[in-house]
Amino acid sequence: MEIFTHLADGFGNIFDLTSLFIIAAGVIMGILVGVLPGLSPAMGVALLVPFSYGMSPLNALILLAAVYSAANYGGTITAIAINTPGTPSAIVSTFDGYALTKQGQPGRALGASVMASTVGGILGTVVLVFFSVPLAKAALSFGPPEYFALAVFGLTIISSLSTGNYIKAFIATLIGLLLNTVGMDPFTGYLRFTFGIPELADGFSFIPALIGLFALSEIFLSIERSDTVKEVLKKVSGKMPRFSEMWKIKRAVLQSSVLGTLIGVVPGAGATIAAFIAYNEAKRSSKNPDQFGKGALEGVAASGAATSGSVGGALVPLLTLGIPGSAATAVLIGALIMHGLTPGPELFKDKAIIVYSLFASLFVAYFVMFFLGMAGNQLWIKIIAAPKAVLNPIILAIAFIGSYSVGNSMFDVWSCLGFGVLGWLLRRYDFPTAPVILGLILGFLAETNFRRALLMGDWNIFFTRPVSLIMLILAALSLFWPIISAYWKKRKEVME
Amino acid sequence: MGKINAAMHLKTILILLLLFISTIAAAYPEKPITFIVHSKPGSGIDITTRQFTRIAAKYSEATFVVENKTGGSGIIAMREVLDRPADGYTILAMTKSFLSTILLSKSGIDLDDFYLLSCLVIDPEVLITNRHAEVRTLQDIIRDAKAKQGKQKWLGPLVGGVDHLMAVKVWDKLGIRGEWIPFEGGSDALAALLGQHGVVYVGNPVDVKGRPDLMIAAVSAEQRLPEFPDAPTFKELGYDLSDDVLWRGYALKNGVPEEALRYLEDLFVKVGSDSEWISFIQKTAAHPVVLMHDEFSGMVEKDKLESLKYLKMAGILSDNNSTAIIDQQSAALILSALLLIVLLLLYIFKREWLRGEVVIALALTAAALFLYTQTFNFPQGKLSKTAGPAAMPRMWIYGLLVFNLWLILQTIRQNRAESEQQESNGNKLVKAAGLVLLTTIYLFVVGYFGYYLSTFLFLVAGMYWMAYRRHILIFAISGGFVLFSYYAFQKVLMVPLPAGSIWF
Repeated sequence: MEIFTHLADGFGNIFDLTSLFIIAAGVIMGILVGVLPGLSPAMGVALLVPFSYGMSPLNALILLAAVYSAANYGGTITAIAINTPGTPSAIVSTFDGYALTKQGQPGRALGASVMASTVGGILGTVVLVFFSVPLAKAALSFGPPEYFALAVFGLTIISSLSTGNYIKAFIATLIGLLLNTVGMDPFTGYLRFTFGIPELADGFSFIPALIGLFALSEIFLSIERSDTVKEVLKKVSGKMPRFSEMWKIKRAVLQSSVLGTLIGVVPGAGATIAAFIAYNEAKRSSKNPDQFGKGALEGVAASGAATSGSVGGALVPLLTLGIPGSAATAVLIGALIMHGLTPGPELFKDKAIIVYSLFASLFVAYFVMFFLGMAGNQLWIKIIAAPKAVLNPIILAIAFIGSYSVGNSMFDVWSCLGFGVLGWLLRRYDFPTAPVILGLILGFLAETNFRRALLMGDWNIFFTRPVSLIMLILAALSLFWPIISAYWKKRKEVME
Repeated sequence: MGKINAAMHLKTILILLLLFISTIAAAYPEKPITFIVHSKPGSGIDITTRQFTRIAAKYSEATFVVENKTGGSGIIAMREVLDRPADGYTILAMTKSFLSTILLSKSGIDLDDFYLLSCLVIDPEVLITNRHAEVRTLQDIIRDAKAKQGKQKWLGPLVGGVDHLMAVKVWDKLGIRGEWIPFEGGSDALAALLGQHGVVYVGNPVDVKGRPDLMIAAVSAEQRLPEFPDAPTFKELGYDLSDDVLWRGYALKNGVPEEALRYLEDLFVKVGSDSEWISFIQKTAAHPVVLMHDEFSGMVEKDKLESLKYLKMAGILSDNNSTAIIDQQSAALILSALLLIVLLLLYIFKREWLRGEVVIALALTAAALFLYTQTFNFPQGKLSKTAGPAAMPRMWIYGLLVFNLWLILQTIRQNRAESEQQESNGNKLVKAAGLVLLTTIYLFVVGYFGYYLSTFLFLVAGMYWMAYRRHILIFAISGGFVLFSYYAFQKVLMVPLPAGSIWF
């Protein structure tokens, strides 16, 4: 096998002190970038591009790839610890991770997240090494109708996200979808619902909305609901999940890793959608679906594994076609070009050693991430144990930086506060906020591809293309899954 | 390229000499020079600008900062530059796309507000096709377009952008018609071309670099590109398209002092002629040039007239400005009045119905109806035959109306069966609302006192408000956090935090 010799060469190429140091530094920077809300993996990579100027192309590449892979994991830390997703894809980690933290078991959630992220990342890299060429070909068959079907499929997850009232979850989704239409219409350039505010021309920035709806609303609500003022802290346990516990959920981890990788391959779908879909599937195939949202280790693991898996996936179209699979890989392309490497099929041919050294460095990076993540967990647990009275103002200040650094704009900071108050009001009356985010993420994908598909053909286009048709059928099934499974349960009970 | 010639080089050398003499006694620059970039870190113009600052450090003692002010296709960045003093310490990174932005937005910003300093990069426009498709060459494109009668799919970014206008120009000059299918960005459109979801992509030579599946069908330049000797020019194929370029340049707010201007001109000439810079630009398959104010302005002026012409031809700009059918104020007024009446009636007659859910559902209904009235002002038809800009928002609005009604009915029905829910504790509500207020004040204060002082004060006040009373710890943590954010963001990651008008 040619691949194995190449890979062995790659490992040989990076096993020196400089490369290992660069990988470790990249992983640390990546975790830091992930932890800080507002600094997405893409921004983290972009901010480090200037640092890589002076390095050899290979070292620059492994530094940036290490940052990218670790940043996706780093985001889950704050999601679990303080309900503030450090990166958009970490939203899903808040569902069960923060629930576990509230139960005094942040160690279990953080530990499960590191382990699942490591497995997801390594599996994603394996897929990247062995299947990138056929996968990239398959990803290209995704045209507008398929993207639209994917968005619809993603939206059906609300039926699985809502634990209580379905109507409220639908209303929340529609709020997100409607907010998403604010800004310039990409097809006509017309400014929709901007009311003359220039900052709204690009719509609401995603990260301030995310921080507001999750972190800020949680602060306001927790002050109102619990006795935070004189709260005697619940004993926070630093206990990590036992191996047997992880072994029990191996199915969710493996399934989510593969799903995350596959969805990551499709350009434009990205880690966030991957995490949502993997969570949905993990819940559906779980033995205890009713535990999801209340602190299921499987839920934390599914999110972490899918997010990390999507890194390897996103690198597939980048390396084989020169098409970025995510925002962060778009930045990577720019950095590669600056170092005189043009990503695409020719890179595999002419500079195979660089490509395979990159693969090898990713494997190493995930191992480094595992150990650093496990060691770091004790630190995060200490932070969680800090009094809420201290933590809450600091989270607000971090939310400020996070929102501001997205576009260096005070408008984003104000909109973050606005979303915080909106989230608080919604959650006071048991409207879930996660569907709002889902609407914000998928609204654009749904609308642009719906209209693009109609520009390319007529309504039949959605139903005459096999991939699009299959996904739409799956979406319908997924939407009505709770009803179907309830019916089956009933029938089973009757039979017995 | 027709734009670079010997005379220009001579002029460059002369300017260099003159500037060298005149800058010896200059005090400028005494502060960091900031480049404002309109796109995200890592985008083409961002990387170009960061590379510029790196090379400029060879020739200048000044520190350079790159600040990304994204949004509104450049409007936010332009406004930022115009809001700052014309002292030569703020430089706007510009691309050709700003012309469409200026022409399409009603922001009041004009090209004349800027002094076009220098253009350092030009990138010829090319038509790109898929090597494995049936339509590959320009002749193929023309034949296929005529057969499809305007249904040929052309892929590229935003409607009204540089590439779209180039497509409209090509259609005009070639006597064909195509269908512009816009994507979020160039790379999404390229993926669609690779997947054969369309026929032609309008872009630049860099787009085919490293992608052997793609080929250049025609180049809009006087001569074939040295890097792509097989790609024919429009001109040799008999069409009048020879100097369409995507330029990247730098501009200042009008009124910058002469001294600073000379210094910067000198610096731009030096960097523009630097061998490292030239090889960097060539790596991106673009052409390094040094066009100073006069030539740059001439090119921009010509492009502006052309953009105007093709924006009109594409039907994006029309001569008759249609006025709004329903103006915003009256719609908002009517709906909020209605909402108030409903709430009042509920309060008087059916107080038990007036629960949080119902109030939220009513408010959302009012907001949805208000937005619905706005959709009548959206452009209809022509550019978007099947689903226009109003289609999706309306669909979501209908959904919202249905589910709101459903929720209200459900709440009322449940209300009969259930007893009153537990009241929330008033004291704690005040506590939470107080923190919201404190945060609001914090955001206001940042504008005056800047990030660091305001954050320190906010943290101290916030912890006191949350009834934390270990004074020394409060001050230590607040100070520590501010220091940490200074080092992590300003120093290590070089993300600038907002400065105030009174304090830094």
